[in-house]
Amino acid sequence: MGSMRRVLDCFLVFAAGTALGAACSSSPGTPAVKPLPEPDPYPALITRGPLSPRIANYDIRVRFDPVAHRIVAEQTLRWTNPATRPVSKLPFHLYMNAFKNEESVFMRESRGRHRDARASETGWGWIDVTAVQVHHNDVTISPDDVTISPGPNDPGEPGPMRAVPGSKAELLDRVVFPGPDETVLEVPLDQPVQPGQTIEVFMAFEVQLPEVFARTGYKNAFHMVGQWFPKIGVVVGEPGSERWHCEPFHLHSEFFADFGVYDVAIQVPNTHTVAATGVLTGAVDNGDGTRTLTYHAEDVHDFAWMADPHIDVIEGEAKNQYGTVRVRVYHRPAQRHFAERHLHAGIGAIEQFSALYVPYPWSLISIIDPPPRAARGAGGMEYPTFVTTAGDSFFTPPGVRLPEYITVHEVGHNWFQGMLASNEVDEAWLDEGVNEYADSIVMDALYGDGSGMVDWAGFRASSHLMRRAASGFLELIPAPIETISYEFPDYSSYAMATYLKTGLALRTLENIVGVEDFRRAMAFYAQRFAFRHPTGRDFFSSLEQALGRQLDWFVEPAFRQIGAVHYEVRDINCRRKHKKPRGVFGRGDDKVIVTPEDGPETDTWTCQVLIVNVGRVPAPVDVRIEFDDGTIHREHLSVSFDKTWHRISVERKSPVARVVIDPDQAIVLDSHLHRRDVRTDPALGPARRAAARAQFWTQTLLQVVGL
Amino acid sequence: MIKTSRSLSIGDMLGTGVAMLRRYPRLWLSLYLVEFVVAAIVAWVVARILVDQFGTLPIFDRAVQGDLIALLNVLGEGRSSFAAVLLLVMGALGGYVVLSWYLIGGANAVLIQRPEARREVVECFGTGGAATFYSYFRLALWTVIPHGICFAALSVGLSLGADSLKYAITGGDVVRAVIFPLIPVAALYWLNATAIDYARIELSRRAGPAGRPDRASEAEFDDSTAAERPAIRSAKPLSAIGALVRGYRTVVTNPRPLVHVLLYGLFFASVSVVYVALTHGRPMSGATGAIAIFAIRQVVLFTRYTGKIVCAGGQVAFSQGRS
Repeated sequence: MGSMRRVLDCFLVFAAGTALGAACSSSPGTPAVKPLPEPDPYPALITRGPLSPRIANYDIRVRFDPVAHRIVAEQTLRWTNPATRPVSKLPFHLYMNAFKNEESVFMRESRGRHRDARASETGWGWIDVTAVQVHHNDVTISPDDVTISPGPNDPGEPGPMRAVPGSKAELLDRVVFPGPDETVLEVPLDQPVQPGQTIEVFMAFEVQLPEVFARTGYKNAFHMVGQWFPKIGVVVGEPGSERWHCEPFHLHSEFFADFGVYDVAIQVPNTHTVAATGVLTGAVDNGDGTRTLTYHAEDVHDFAWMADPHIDVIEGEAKNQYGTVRVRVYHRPAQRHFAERHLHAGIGAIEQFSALYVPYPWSLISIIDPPPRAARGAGGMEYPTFVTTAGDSFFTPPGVRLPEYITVHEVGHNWFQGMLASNEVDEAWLDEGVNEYADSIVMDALYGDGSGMVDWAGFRASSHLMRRAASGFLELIPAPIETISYEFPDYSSYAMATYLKTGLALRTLENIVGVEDFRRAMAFYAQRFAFRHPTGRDFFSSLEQALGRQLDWFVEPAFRQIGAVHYEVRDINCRRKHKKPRGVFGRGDDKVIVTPEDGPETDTWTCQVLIVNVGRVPAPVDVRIEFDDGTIHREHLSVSFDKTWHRISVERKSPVARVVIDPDQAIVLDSHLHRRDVRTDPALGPARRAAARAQFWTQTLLQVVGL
Repeated sequence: MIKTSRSLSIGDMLGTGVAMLRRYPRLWLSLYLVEFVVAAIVAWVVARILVDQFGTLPIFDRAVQGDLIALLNVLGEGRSSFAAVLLLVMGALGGYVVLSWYLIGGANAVLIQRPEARREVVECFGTGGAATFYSYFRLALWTVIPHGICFAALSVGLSLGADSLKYAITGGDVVRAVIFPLIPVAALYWLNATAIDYARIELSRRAGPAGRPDRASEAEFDDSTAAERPAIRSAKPLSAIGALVRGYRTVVTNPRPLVHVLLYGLFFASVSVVYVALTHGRPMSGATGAIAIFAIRQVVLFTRYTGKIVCAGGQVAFSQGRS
């Protein structure tokens, strides 16, 4: 019994140790009061503005309650009608209502799952608009007119809103939710907004943040606040036929908004560190345990912020044609070594993207490295001058560059959607996929050609080839790249088409037309459409214009149809050439039989190699044929639209030893590599080597399970 | 003087194990060859599958050489071939487990009977293995229960650790997430495996060659005290469940069997670590390299195997209460 008790005691010690270990790992300590931050001593832009049309400009006053995870705010939007027609209603996105209940479009589509994260069963999020007032441009409103009264003696409770000057028409009881849920709110106007006219819309609203999910929310003390304010839709379409674009918040769709200037004042407890879009222009201690931090951003189309009492920051500088960009990484102390990797990647990304496309024009960028338990929900998202990264893990040691890749990708979004503000809802590939293409260039530039993604324990891999190898087959994606984001049947299809296939298709196109020319064309597109809303059509027409050639032959099947390239060596057939053709020739009495003696074998081999492309996307490709005597025959197969195969006939002094399709690995839009490189005689060595390894491990297992 | 189980030290157990290893080198080498041949047959079939599937594809060469992209592509496109290889290995393992009931029975009989002449050794091994095969089979059925408990504990431990593991950023996090929850599982497995070893020995002792009591034990009976006898042996037939209970009683009433097996486990792990240290990052290509890596692997496997024989010898000695 005594021994049994000892054994039991041991188990109890283990269990207690486990529980203690878990408890020790999740306690970051009591928040301390932070020094009041100094305003940033530089302007929002490091170049001369304005850079954009500045259609939607926001002044927002925020009071943040980190205990209730709640925001009480007022905003004044100054919006200018860019259309050629009057506008009689204003639609606003209320994205936060996607997390209000299970009946929202987002939750119905996602069933509570987004990427690897699950929605909390209790931490719902919502936004309530509590006041709406509209002024046309004959009335101006100063930010001083809008105030928020703190709650009496209770910083945890939102205080009552003070109505803003009574001359405005209160429209709250007339707003409608025109869509299938409450993520779009429509404000009808008494008087239409004429083309070029500016209107002011005042709104008061309250936001309950969800437990972190789908880019926004809280996890313990960490708060990531994105897509949190009523954001006006975008007028799209050709002059004369413009319409509002303001879709409900769907599972796979991201965001689309007009450029403008943001002035946002955030009242937070003095224990919290805040990072936000733009630069800090003011910091005031309110004397009640809170402080108000004011941020200013120009030529951006969104505003996000983060508040956390346990976060540290490291800073570096990136240089580009406009000057110096400050790069800050906000991180928890335990993630310091990852923060340094993110900082290096962030600086490199700013410099590389600036050199490739257009210079980064803002004076700083904030990279948020969320705590691990918040990263699945909050990590890997982009906002102008403000991104969240992810990938910090014991399993991503230096050399496994997933953290760096995520940072490069999110920073890259400051170009592909931040400046080139395409419609992420309708054409998600135009920012995600184009960005993915650019990321692989930047990763290879920063970390070495061929080792951009992995350089660890002897393994090396570039990012685009690694992504391709680790994903499924491209031809199994059930929808084309050019599919509206919310019409993809599932996340895998959306991700593979939008990110991976687009990136590989562009990389393939680059290799076909020439790297230098293609990169020049991409820069042309970026410079031409920066701070505008380019479409897919704009993208391809820019490329065609810069390259001086049509691309439809590739763009149509690769971007607008399902499928990919799928080359393989179907057959290799060699035989000795006969001095005379053997067989029976002639008719009737004139028949002549040529025997092997009459037509003996010569020392020449005639070889035929059959190359097929069973994929749906045509692509020109090089083929290298190696012969037993060491000689090489190289042939370029041009695009063929009427047949999907090529037969190559060659005569040599020895038979074919090996056929390699695409020896330079230019056609990367092909996930089947097996039969792109085939030799005629099987090699036994590698299989035996692998089998010997199998023997060792089998015998090891035999020793474990048997004698 | 005859030592009892209570007085047999770990050192005695190890010493006896080594003595047994040196006493029957041909037997142990033969048993190692059986193990080697089983693994070699698996390897031969694996090689055939791989040559058929990948022999003409240079991408497979690159995968074997450690090209990560090639490896991922080969694994992706050759999924069915690798599934076949996996099934083959699993089948071989299952078959070897059954074969091991015979081999362990024979080995235990030799360790218990300690025959002298070569012919006697062969006879003792053959009859011992045959005599206990079905009782080992019944024991294996009973061990489904402790193994099931162990598996359930493993599932709980892994599920407890999996969530933390997803968020691990330091080695300490990994230890907290994986090692701590798995320590009870490892302890349980350790306890079960040791108890099963002793249960088998008990069954072998009861059977003896052709059902006769073993000579050594008979001799011990003559000199042992009445108090020691029950601990040494009883000639009554013993059921598989009875043997298992006795096995558990042996390991919970005396820490030495567990420590002894733990030492073997540490030896096994240490040899494996040395192997990794010797081979990691060294491509060992070409014919010379292939011969070198084959030799290193066989030395590692044989060394671990001798550790197992030493362990088994010590366990039998402990069970018999003599060195």
